[in-house]
Amino acid sequence: MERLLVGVGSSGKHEGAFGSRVLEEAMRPTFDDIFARYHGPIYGYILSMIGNPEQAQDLTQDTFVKAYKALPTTDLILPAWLYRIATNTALDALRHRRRLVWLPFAPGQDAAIAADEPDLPTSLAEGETVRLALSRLTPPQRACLLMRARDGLSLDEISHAMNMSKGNVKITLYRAKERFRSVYLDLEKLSAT
Amino acid sequence: MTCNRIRPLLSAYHDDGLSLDERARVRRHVALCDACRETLDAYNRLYAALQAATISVPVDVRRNVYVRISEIEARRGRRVPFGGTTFLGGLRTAGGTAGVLAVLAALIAAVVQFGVTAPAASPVASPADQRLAAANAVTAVSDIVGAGAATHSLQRLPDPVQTAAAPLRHAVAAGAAWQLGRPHVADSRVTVDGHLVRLTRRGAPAAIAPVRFSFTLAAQTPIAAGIAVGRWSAVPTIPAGDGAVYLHLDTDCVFIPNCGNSTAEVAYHSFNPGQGQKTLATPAPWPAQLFTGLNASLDGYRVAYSAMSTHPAFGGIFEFNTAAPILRQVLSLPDTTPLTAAGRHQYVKQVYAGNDGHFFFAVVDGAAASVAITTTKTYATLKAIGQPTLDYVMSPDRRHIAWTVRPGNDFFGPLQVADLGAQPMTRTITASGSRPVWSPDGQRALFLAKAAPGAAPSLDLWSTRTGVTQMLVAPPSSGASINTYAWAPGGRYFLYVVTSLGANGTSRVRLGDTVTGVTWPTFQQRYIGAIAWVHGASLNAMPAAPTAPDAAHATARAALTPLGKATTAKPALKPPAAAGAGAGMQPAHPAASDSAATPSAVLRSYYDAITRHDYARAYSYLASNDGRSLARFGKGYADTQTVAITQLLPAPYRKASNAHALTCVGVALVARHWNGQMVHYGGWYLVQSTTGQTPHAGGWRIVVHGTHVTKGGRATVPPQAACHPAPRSSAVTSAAIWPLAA
Repeated sequence: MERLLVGVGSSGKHEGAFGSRVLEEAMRPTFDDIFARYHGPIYGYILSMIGNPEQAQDLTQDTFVKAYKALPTTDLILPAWLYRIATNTALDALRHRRRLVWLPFAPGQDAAIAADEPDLPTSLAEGETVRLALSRLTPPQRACLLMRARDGLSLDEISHAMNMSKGNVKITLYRAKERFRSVYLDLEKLSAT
Repeated sequence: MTCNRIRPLLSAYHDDGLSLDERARVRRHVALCDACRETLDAYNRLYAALQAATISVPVDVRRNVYVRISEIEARRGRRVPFGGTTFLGGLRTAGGTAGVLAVLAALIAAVVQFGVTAPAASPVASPADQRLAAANAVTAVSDIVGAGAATHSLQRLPDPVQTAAAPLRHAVAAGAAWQLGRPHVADSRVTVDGHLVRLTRRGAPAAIAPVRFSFTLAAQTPIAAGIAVGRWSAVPTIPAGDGAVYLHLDTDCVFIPNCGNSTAEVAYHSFNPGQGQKTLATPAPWPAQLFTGLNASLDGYRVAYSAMSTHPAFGGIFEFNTAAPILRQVLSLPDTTPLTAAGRHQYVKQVYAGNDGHFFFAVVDGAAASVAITTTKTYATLKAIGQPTLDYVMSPDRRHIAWTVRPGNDFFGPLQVADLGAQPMTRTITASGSRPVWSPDGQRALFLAKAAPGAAPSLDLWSTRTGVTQMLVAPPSSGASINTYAWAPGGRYFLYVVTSLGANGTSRVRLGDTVTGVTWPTFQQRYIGAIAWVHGASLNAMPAAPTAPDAAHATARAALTPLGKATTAKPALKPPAAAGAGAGMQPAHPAASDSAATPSAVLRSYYDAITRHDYARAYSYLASNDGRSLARFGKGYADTQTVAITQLLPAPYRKASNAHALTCVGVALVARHWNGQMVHYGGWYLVQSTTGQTPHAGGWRIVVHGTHVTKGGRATVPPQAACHPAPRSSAVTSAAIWPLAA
């Protein structure tokens, strides 16, 4: 059985998963397959990264259009490949958003909007705690944590998606969890009172 | 080792990112250190909180993505973005998976929303029990199904109800249920059994209405109380076109070798109680002995299975398409490999109909297994593996394979799953399992499991994500067993068949909900051997009389695919049942098809009317015309004797406007002219719904402008935006729309 089950290694090269070149081609998922299988998770992932449903929808569309363009030339490693596109798209948008936010303000007013993080509210709806706690993480931390916790990607897959070393992913995840935990606990305490 | 040194490792340990050595070290430390164990617990809770967030995907995403892709393709100068471009590689087709989403949406819409619950304190409950009750009370209740007196599982509590001392297996509960808006307490009782809250209802409710119920958990003395408010709906709303396609034997000879000439039939049964069932065909045009692999495509529009005979020349894969409801042989298997060799049985497992006309399946026997894909002539296989296996089944997303190792005489054995992802690994799901069936998303599998050798098998559910096995259906009472089951296209609901043998034996088909664990009956039939859940089917559109599968269609069909050469089937023998019914072909004039209920139906009806030269009726299916009168329309078809639809590709995605919805239907036609000439046409029709327009003309109509059918064309479904080919001139468009007049 093991002979058959050599899959796609972390090197990204197909290691003769099925022996037959024809079959390897045939087993390659189609864009339709990929879209149907992943558009829900990818939308959820981007929404959790960005926090804004409209923008998340746009970015999800961007992600899949990019994926479609890249599909014929890509050595497919799903889902890492797709998350890599989604992550880059989301991180780009976050960077861009920051630029847009900063522009209207005069240099002296920086402090006024430095609170990119929302203030802790006095009461919280279900799910709001998670959203707020997530917003307190850096974008890479958020990306790693979401891919691991929410979407169940392995460390190798995240490492591919983030273009980071595996060690770096571990550290990022560790910091993300610790930060999330402290913020989340604060918020939970808050919503309990 | 100190906590400080372990801390950074703890996170990686939690993420399964440590070497074996490190993992053992962390495990040893955690066993002794409360603080670190607490941290691990916190990590687990954190992940659970992140997973719990539910997100609904806006419906526009799909449409917008496909519109943008069609624009990209248009810029590249390609006409048909999703046509197969390379052999096997271009497995893209439109219209494939969209249907899954449509059904998913419908099913999700059917799930009833529940209000927030209000825990009620019981005066005798301890604080701990109150917390328990509160926790239980906030659990949402899902659909309550069925009619008449029955016991329903209302709710699955997060944990079995238990006291501090010991698990309370049969907590007696006092409860009541009543219909909203009525003070009357129905003749009902709420009980709790372990982790299930059940409602027993003695009389049928006058009408299906929301029901409010409350329950109080109690043992000898009351231990907790809670109130949950829910809605009571009828059976979850299953889309109208949904039903089961199954193979059955109407004989006592079932499962008994060499017992006369038993004849199998392929039949369809709607889940809609008003619709009933229809026998479609004999499963193969020759005396077949073994039918295996019956399986619906991911979108639920097609069903495929294999039929083998003891004669080495006959064997094949057959397909049933709800849009063009006749059975046809799509592949002749014995061309290369006789599947029934002497003394050795090979089985074809779970045939998946792909979007592009190819079929995936696994071939297994006691010693080897391989996964295969059909080509135009034969099939290509993977390497065989040298271990006794059974039920070798690949998930539809091709990320997992499940199989039974070293099966015993009862076909049960250790059930294993291989993850073909970035980190290939093999897991054993259960020590005694059989017949895994993957969900459409490839994330879960249904399988039969035995708690102990000799025990009756139950139907269990396993999830790749959580690795947790859960019993869905308990073993049936003695004398009956669960023998086949299938997923609904949306991946939430499933159906299963409980069969009892003997003189009064029968197969009872039940539907179930994997989320709530609720099951309910639909229909029964004598000896169902294999079953699949389809949708988009219409009884009206099905052949009036059972037919033999039309092997000749394989040739016609293959000619329409870009892959070129035709499949050569060998339908030399006719089954006895079909011998008198027009040599296995469809009857020349089946009952008139006059339905505009679905996009496919209106096209079938249109060409049915043309074939009957009933041009007024055909004309009535048009949403608009290009200026021709009915008389001129009829004249356009003067040369045409009959038109047969050889392929219909319904496109589930639709573009809504203020007044109506639009969709494309791919179509391939063969027209026979009076002079004997046969002409092939293909392309797509633009079809619009008439909802909101004239009330008497419900259903769908053909839109002339935007339809694109050409001589020698291929059936195809472009993305919505491409349903409107830019006409070079109106004359060209017109000629394309009225192909048969040319």
